[in-house]
Amino acid sequence: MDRETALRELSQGGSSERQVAARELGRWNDTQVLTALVDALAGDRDYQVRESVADTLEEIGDSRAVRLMLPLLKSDDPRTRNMARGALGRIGAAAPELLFEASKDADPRMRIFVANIMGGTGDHEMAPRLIEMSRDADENVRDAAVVALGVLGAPEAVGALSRFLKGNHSWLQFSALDALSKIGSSEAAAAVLAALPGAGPDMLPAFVDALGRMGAPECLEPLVRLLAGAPELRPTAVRLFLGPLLEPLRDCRDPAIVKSVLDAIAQEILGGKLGEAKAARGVHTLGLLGGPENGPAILKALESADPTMRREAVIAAGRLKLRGAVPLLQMMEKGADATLALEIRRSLEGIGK
Amino acid sequence: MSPAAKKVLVVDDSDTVRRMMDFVLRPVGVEVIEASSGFAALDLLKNNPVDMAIIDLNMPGMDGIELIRSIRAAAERKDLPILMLTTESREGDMKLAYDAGANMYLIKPSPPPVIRFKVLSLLGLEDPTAPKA
Repeated sequence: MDRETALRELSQGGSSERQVAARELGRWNDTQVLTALVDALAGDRDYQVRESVADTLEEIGDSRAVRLMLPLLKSDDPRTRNMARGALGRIGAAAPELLFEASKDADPRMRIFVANIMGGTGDHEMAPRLIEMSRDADENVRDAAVVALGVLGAPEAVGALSRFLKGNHSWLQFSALDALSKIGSSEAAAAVLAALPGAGPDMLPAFVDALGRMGAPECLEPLVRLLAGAPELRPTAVRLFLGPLLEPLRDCRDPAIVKSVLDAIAQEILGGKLGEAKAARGVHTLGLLGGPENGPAILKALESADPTMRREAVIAAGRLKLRGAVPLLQMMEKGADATLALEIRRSLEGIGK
Repeated sequence: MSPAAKKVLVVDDSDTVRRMMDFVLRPVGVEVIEASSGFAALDLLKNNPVDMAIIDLNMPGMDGIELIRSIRAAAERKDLPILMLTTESREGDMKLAYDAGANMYLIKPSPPPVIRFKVLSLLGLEDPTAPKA
C-alpha cells in the first residue's frame, strides 16, 4: 500500500481497511502522516482502529507525536482525551521534556493526566518532578503524583510520601500508604512503622495492610504488638500473615511472635471468617509451626466441607500429634478415597494409633 | 437484604483506587469485585452478577461513559445502580454521565464516609457507621 492510499483508507475505508492503513502508515513518519494518525486516534469511532493507530504511534515513538497528542488531553470528549492518555502512556517517555512542560499547565485536569502518564512511563527521571507535584495546590494533582510515585516504585520519594501519613486527608493518606507499600524498601517500611502510633482508628487497617504487603520481616513484630491492642484488626492482619508475610513468619526466630501469629490464625479459622484458600493455608501453617494448643482449630478444619482444608487438617493433626483428633480421623478413614485414607493412616500412626 | 449479601463492581484503572474502595466498603460487609478497565468489567459482568457498579470516568481504552452505555445496552443490566466516581467536575462530563445512565456522580476526593453512605443508599441499605440522630 502506498502512502497516499494509506492516508485515504485511514479516513475513508471500512474498519478493517482503516486498521490496515493505520499500521501501514508506520512506514512513514512525516508531519502529515503523524497528524493523520493523531486525528484518527482522537476521532475514529472504532476502538480497534484507534488501537492500531496507537500501536503505530508507539512504534514511531516520536516526540512530534507526543506534542500533537498532549492538547487532546483537554478535549471535552472523554473518548478523545482517554485515547490520547492511553497512547501517551505508551510513548510519553520519548519526550520527557514535553511531559515536564505539560505538568505545569494551568489546568489541574491536564496536570492530573500528565502525572498519570509520567508514572506509567516507568522512567525514574520523572520522580523529581512528581515529587514536586506532590506539593501542588490542587489535591487531586497531589494525589495523582503520589500514586504515580508508587507506580514508579521510586525509593527517593519515601521522604515526600511520609508527609502524607499524618493528618486527616484519607485519600492522600491512603494513596501514600499504597505508594510506600509498592516501593517496599526498608526505608518505606520504617516510614510507615514510624507513623503507625499516630494513625487514627479508621486508617489503622490501611496501615496494617500496607505494612503487610511490603512483606518485610521487620513488620511482623509491630503488627503483632498492634494486634494485641486492636483485636478488630485481626482479620486484616491474618490475611497478610497468610499472604505476603508467610515467608517472614516461617523464618521468624522469635517464638513469642510466632505463637501470637498462630493464635490469631487459629482464631480466624475457628471463627469461620477466612476464605477457603486462606483457611487451608492457615491450617497448613498451624501444622508446620503450631502446637497442641492449636488443636481446636485443626479439629474444626477436619469437619470442613472443603476437601483441601480437610486434607491439610488431617496432615496437621498427625504433625501435631493431636490425640483428640483420633475418633474423627478413624471415622473419616472409613469413607475416604485412597489418597486421603493414606494420609489419615499416616497421621494416625504419627499420633500412635 | 444485609450488606453482607451485596457485591459492588469497582472499575478503575488505578489499583490504588480499587483498593481504597475495598477499604471503605469491606467494613460494612460489602464485597468488592475489581476490574481495571471497561473491557474487563464487561467480561466480568457476563458471568458474575453484581448489585451495583462504581465506575471511573477517565480510563484508557474504554472510558467510563462508554462503559455505562455498554452496561445499559444489556436489558438485564438496565437497572443496575451505577455511581460515577471521578476527578472531573465539569458540568459537561456530569451531563454525559447522567445521559449515559449513571444514577449518581461523585467528585474525588469525596470523603470515605460520604462514598460509603452514597453506595449504601444506592443499594437501598442503611449505613451502620453513620451517626444516629
